[in-house]
Amino acid sequence: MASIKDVAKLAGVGVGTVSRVINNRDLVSAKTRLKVHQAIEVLGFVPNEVARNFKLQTSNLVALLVPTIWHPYFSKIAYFIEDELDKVGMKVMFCNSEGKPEKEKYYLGMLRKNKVAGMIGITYNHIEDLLSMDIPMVSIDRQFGDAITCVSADNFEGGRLALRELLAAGCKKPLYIGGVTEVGSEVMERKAGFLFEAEQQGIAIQVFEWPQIEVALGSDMLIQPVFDQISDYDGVFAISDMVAAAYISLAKERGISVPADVKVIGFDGIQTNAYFHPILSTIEQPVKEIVELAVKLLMEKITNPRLPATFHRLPVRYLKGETT
Amino acid sequence: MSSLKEVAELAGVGIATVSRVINNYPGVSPKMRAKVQRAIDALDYIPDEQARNFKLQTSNMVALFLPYVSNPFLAKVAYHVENELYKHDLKMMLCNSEAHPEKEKDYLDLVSKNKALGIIGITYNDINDFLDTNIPFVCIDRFLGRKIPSVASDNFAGGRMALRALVRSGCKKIAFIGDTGGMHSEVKKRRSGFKHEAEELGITPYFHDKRITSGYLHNDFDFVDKLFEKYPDVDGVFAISDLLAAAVVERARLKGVSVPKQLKVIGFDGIQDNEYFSPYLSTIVQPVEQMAKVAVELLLQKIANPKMRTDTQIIPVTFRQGETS
Repeated sequence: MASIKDVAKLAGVGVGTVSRVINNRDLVSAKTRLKVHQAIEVLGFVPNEVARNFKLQTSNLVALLVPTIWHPYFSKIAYFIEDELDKVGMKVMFCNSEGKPEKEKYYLGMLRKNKVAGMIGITYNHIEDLLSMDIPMVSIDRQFGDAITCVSADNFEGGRLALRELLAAGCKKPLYIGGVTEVGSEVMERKAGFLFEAEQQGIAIQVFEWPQIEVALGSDMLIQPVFDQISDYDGVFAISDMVAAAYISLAKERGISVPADVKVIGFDGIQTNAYFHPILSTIEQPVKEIVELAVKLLMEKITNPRLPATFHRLPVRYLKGETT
Repeated sequence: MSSLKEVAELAGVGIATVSRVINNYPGVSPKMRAKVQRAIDALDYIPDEQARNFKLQTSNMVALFLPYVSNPFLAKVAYHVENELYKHDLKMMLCNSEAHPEKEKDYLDLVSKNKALGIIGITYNDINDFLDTNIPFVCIDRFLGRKIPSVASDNFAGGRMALRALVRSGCKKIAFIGDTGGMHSEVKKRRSGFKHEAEELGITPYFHDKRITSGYLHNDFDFVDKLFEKYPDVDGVFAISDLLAAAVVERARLKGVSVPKQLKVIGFDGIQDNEYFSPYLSTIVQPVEQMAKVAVELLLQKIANPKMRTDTQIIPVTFRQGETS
């Protein structure tokens, strides 16, 4: 990363002048100011003043970005992250980024200026440009090439497992229901694994997809067309538990009985009690393990910013509920 | 160069006031603002940028205390509080305090060191002893005295509503279920509102409200089973929370009791935002978004005026008809 010295050198001025420009003080001519700004841009320099002076006081904050905490999968993640970070003396700054990429950018800005020590994020927005190797960030569920360490459930194996379980339950004609993430996400591996296993087994699969991932939060309107467009299936693998639940509720209205007529498997494992029905058959994500690993990797990266990005997939398991 | 302290001395105000003027915070009278500005001009004071940045970056942080965020009602609270804070350009720190009451002390400490601006919280811990009443702390669902601003939904009216709804749908043997022993004032009012309304209508309901018997803490299902054992003729239940209401429906179902035909059940909270899972509960819905909004407003007022005194702000609740009554 470029230093204030580099900027001064390139601009052909003293370090003091650069500092005055950064801090918006007077006594710098417009011409010099422009020269310094050009150098700052060329070098991608981020002022580090605040951090240098107050690093100790602020470095125990970790920003957590999730699309919305008002969803059982994300609130579970938030719960475990707070718990894990507390064990290492860190505090969580929390951000619902749902539909607001500018919020994520804001927090990334804080990270670059060292106002937070690190970040753990589940993000579906376009923020690639803002990321680089030396950012202490761990992504959950989404890979950013080689730049950022990522932890995720083994979605591909989960998809394979779902197909095998549907077959074991007696299905002959499986259907996949999901949404497409706008950005590359591990979540899409669920479908890939499902299709791969089907091919291995010589089974034909139908696919119903939306061009957006929002469907994963469950939406009647988006799931409705399944019933108009697709017929002749006896098993459903849904990209998330919420989609599975929405499908089942709509199927019921149409006189389709689950699991008698159609068997359904979801993904996530959001139900933590046996009070509400249906209790979904699902591929459960190892949320606690994902979070433990994410926090451990983040702390390592904070301690040693030169650590290369790594990628980790953790095993999932099948939970039989009332829908298969 | 002159310092913040000198400005404060010349203006005859505290350092915090000068700081509030410089940072354009609310809660400073125009007169005071002018006085501080004159002192700044007279002394040619220039705020230390770095100190100011440091102050700004930390003082836009608000901590949210929740017993745990994995409960759907509490997750909804966290969601709305974060959204409200964001509107005011404030950030939220999250503290799950149930298992570790000492964590709350950490955050209070942050506030007293000016590293956080204030706290909004649902806490069931005994924090009175170390709660400096001038600290910007807004309590949800609990009244800790007029020095600590608080906001709650209208639990009393909710209890009354639940009783009336059960009577209206023909219930004769009505029970309240929920352990109020460990609860704080506001949540207990669900029970007292229910009881009050029953008295008004000349009804004597059952109260099943001791979860701990002979040193044993019953889980939800045990607790519900005991209700059916003790009051086998019960035909209407008001549960203190949606989760407990769902547990009542589940245990009734396993006993072959049909809900709502033979037994009507009403919960409290409104945790379901879709009808995918059954039972889709009849319930008293808490206005979480509104509560979050008021909590943030109260916090800002308390920050501007640490001496503020106020009663609990009560927000109206609504009854939502589901499939269990």
